Amino acid sequence: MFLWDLIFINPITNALVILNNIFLGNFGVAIIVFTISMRLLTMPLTLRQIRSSRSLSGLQPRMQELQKKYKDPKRRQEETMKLYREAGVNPLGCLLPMLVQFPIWIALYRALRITVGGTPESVIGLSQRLYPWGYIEQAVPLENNFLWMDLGQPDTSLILAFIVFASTYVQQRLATPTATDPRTQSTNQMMLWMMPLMFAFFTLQVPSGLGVYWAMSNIIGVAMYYFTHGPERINWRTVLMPPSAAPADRQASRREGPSPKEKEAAEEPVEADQSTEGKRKKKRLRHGRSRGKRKDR
Amino acid sequence: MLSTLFLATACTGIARPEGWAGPTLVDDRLVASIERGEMAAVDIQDSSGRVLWRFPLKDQRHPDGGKINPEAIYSTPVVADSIVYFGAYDGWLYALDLASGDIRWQLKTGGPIVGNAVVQDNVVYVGSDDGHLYVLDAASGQERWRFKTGDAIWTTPLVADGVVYVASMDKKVYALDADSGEERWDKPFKAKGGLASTPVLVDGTLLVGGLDSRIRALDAASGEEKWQFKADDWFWTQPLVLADSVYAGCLDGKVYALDVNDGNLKWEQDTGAPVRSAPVLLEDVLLIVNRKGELYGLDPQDGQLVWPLPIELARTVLSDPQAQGATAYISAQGGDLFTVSKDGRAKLLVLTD
Repeated sequence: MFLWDLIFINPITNALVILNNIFLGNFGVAIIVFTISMRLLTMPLTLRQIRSSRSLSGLQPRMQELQKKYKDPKRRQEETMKLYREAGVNPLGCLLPMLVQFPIWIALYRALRITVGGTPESVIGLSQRLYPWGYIEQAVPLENNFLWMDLGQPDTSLILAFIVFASTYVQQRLATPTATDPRTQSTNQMMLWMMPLMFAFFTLQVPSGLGVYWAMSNIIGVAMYYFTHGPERINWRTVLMPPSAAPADRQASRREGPSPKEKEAAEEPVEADQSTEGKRKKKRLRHGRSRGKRKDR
Repeated sequence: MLSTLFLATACTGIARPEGWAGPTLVDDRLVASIERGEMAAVDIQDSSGRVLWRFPLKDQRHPDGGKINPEAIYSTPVVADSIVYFGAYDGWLYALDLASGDIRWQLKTGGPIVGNAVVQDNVVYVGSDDGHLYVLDAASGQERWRFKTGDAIWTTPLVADGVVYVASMDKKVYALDADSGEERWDKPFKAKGGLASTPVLVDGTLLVGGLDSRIRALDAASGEEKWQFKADDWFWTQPLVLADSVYAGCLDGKVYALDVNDGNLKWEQDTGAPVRSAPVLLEDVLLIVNRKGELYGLDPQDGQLVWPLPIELARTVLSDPQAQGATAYISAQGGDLFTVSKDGRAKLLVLTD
């Protein structure tokens, strides 16, 4: 814990206090400038993530072919990895920047608790973190108020939670590669809502300074995506509209007909017509078919 | 993984004020915050530390109908004319009946109250986090005047010879006329850091510590600086003056003894943990309490240990001890009350639930 404090928490705490001094005692601006600096620092990783994401997107048709071609999961896996190797894509490349940011988030959270905790105990705690430089010491006490928020307390007005939700959603929507596999797409869609909801929920629990960091970090992420992809590649209407119900699923149904489950059910002999199980299977089959028809409409 | 990490982070919540009100001894009872956000009177004649009354009672309400919830109490209670005065983190100043704990009056300020109230000549003086010094009638709570500083007031005002001295987090010390609230100095004294240490006055010299790691001596008449002493961390405690020595605990874990005339260091003693609690004298033993709840008995002359080893209370202590002859009463964080005698023996007086 000592090392963690020494490497992450104390430097971040002091950096925030220095930025606070530079920006005339406005701690909210200090957090925003800190966020921009962090995003610039991790920019090479972010660009790598964007490139990986784009490459993965490009490989989708070939991956779908592999899925059709190889029914054995082990073989399919091997071929997929081979495809990644040939294309020079690291599927973990998308995760790395996020993993790198975790310690920063957690350390920032701790640093915010220490710096703008606001309670007399947290101010005493702050004294143990600050470097013994006059320039830093003179900054205390820090101004907790920024716009409508007390940076040391959760923002109960829901405004910040909404901004965090919206910005996470937009960034997520831009960064998630288009998947043609129905299962992947279903997972992506779930994550598309889950992540913003989760971050919005956390914003209501933690000091609003951390929410400011998340919102700002997302906005910078969107800006970076905009500048790396160019305006012509982003359809803002599509990004801002909620995704329609599983278009890929529909496409897959059109192309492939009944799902493997439906096929399996259809292939099963309906011999014991009078048995309950037989009736259930028939029902399932009919239901599956009618659903298939509805989809085809 | 993402959700687990963040849940772990979010579950730790936000910083919660705990309070560090010290105890006040009145005859056979001790008025102290023995639970977070609660004030109580304890019978010290009773070996089990019987609680005579508690405040607030369930469903006790403010005049506006809101439920009373002091949240945390940092303000050591002050007793005058059988009334207990203390401020709370909910921003209210409470005046309670000493015998019963009933509310005599209550007043809402614009922010949490961290410093103690002072009662002199039927007037109550108290600073608030909203930056105001409130001056009120002690019997009714009626406001006489108020004075606005540039930042929170976390210190206790000092009232002497018709002047109120108040140190603020805006880094300034103000001298105000006790009757009118007019400023007495040409301009307030400005330090380099916020001021959280309650000033002390001795022979026309005002001593005040600050978050710029300095303790300063000011001319009480003009506000001019006489001398300053720099340590390695902030001074948050009210200094103690004995004869020609100033004793001050520091958040660097040391206690410093300085010459009151020129600020020269006489001796220093390292306690190993930040000292927020004010030093007190138990007859001829200087008692120093650090944040870890380690009690040091020192010789005020040379700083040598009187007790061979510090007494460990195994509690966090940030409150100011109350000394009564050869005994001191100490409130730990969370409310446990201890007594310690000058021969280095500690006893648990009240254990909170």
